Amino acid sequence: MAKKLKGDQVLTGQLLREGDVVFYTEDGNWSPDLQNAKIATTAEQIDELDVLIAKAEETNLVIDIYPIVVKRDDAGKLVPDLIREKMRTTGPSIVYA
Amino acid sequence: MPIIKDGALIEDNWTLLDEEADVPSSADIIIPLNVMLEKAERLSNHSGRIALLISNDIAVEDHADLVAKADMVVLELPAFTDGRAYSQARVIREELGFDKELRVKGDVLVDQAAYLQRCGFDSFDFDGEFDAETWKKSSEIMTTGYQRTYKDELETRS
Amino acid sequence: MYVYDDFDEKFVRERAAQFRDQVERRLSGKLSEAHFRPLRLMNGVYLQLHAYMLRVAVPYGTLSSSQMRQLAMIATKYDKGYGHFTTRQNIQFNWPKLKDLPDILDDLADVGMHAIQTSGNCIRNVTSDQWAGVAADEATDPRPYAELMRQWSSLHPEFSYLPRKFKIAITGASSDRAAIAFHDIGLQVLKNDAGEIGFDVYVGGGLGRTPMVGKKIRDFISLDDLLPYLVAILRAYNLEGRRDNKYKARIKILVHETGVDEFKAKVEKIFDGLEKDKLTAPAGEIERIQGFFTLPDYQAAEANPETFTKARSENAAFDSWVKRNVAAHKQAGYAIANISLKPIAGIPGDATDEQMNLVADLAEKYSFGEIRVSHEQNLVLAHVKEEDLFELWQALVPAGLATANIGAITDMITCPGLDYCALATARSIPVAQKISEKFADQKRQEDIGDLKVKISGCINACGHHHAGHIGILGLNKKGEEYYQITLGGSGDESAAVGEIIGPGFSGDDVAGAIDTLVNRYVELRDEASETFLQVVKRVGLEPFKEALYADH
Repeated sequence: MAKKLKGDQVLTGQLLREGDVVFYTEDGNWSPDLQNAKIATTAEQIDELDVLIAKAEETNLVIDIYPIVVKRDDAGKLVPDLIREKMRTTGPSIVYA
Repeated sequence: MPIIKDGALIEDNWTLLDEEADVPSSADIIIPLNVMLEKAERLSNHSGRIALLISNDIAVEDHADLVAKADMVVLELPAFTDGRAYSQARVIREELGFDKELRVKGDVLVDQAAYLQRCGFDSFDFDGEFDAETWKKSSEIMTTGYQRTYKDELETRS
Repeated sequence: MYVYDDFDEKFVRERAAQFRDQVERRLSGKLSEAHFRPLRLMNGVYLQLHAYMLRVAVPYGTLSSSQMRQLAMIATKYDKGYGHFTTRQNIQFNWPKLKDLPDILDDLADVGMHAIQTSGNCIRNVTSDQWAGVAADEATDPRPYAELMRQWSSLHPEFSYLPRKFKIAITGASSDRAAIAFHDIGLQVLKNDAGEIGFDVYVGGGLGRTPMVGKKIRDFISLDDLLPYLVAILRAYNLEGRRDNKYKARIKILVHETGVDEFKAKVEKIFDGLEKDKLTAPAGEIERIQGFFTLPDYQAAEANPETFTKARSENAAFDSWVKRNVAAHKQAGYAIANISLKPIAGIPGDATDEQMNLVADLAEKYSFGEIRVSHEQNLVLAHVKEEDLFELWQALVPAGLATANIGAITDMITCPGLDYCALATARSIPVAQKISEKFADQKRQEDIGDLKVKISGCINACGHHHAGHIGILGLNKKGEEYYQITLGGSGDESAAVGEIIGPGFSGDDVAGAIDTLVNRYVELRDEASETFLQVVKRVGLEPFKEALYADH
């Protein structure tokens, strides 16, 4: 799965207990902030994502783990490529509750 | 091959007969329906018990005579989400009147055992590890049910 | 309404305990996510875009005030202070945590509620007419039979691992407000000359990526044979429904591929072989259930009392609300008051905890403590005295619950879309909000009259766009949201699937396109009483296409 995507990638998932969206970080933890995500850029790093997913699933802390393509906006911040992932990162686009 | 019956893991002596295997005539064997239909003559001298394995795309009522003669019927759950065997079991129990052992084989979850039992199954040959404690706990939580079913042990509204 | 006895309560509490055990096994790692997923779904728990989501069953859309207060409490304590009423008359919470869900199910059990089978490949919450039991056009109250089916379908041992989800709707009225033609099974309750209850049975309707109108396969199945007949249909489906492709797994595809006549023959053959007396409800059970659905203790009340007519003549906003939101009641002097959850530019179907508590209080004060949820995502107080309507309305206004738009263009069915849903391809809510703003003018809405706009954020059609007089389907093209418009769909007794009018529109242009369509309708109609749907049926799509695309 990871190999089919084109571009820089990060791993995302949701916390098993809480359901919150999180991103895999450089230090092997999970952060709610996309800006803390570990970015896979090279072919080797992208290949390694599958291994990271399998390892992360074993810990039983995060579920539904998959890679998403990210880009940097003009301010240098990481932004997901797809609208679905943008929405997932920022929360509902409407005023709610 | 261990199976689960009455909530316990027990050794089981049934042997699955594949196409060409040579089994002693005294063995208890499980025969797939298609083998039974094509090679019934091989069994003319068989003295052991014979069970029928029916895959879940078969209309069981079309084979009422074979079901009636079987010492056990085995139905399959190729995936735990595939619910056809539940209906096959009810037809076998409630319409064909089969009252010997009815076994389910495959991807059975502990959490499905009660449903399967209510459809008429009484033994489980399942993929994966058996945890007797979890089995016991999870099969005892629900004591009530809205439907009246075969040999129901649940409390229903009377 | 139906009230749990000890048996129902024990059942629901055991089910909550079972889920608590399953969640514990999941959290400890004993149960894998793959195995847990169908178990949580059958308890209404989804993993959505931002969080878990819990869908609570509101059987056939009926709630008591105390149940509504408990939903408000759950919204406050475990969520972000609001809930979303759905097109299947349920309510869903968007932000619960898995670790809290066992406690939430216990809290629900405290008021005779649960989340059983609000998702999963099983028989879902049975839905019905939100005006059941009180509508002036109703022949027979469908609720006792909806309750009978709720019980029968709960944790059904044979039908919990079906090829796909299975939805049953039932109505007893001549106007179909339950969209029975778009359900896996639709039931029309009838009473014959001898006073016996029977059911016309429709099968194979549905929306989704292959919309189909259900076909009638049985006239007047008797009450005793109802459950056995459902067993026969479901058994045929469970055994032969497609399991190779989830998009072709609904019963509508089986009925379509088999042919209605052959499917009916299969069902009848299974039905003939059933031991029906074992499958039907035990003796006395139907009478026991019927006993809960007697009419409330209405007082003798004058029809059109002077206080009511005077308030209408003196207060134009109240008069508008009465015209759009109040419907005729069986009982003289009483009315059905519909509470719109579609405020202008709001989120269709959402209600805050405060609003839920207020509706609970008002139901207690004016409507025998009973509330209904409609599949059009509104609430109903079904037994309000006409002389109380003005007071009720005055209490609703400050809470933002008095929008006078039931059945009007701003009363849109809208799925959560990409703002919440993991499956969505585009957002629905912002589009609904823009359309709502465009048509905010009450006079204009009244001039347009009945017009059902329905919006789905993906091909799964949870927003019923196929059945909208105007349907809007959100898709994704090259990373951008765009919206396809259909015309001529209908969800009532004249059920029809809408036709795509042409190329889609961007999110910013949809409201303008709807405006163009509506203006064209106003030009085309012969008289003010000719509805949008009637005009589309009379003139076809062409004049609308011209209006939409002539400049493009």
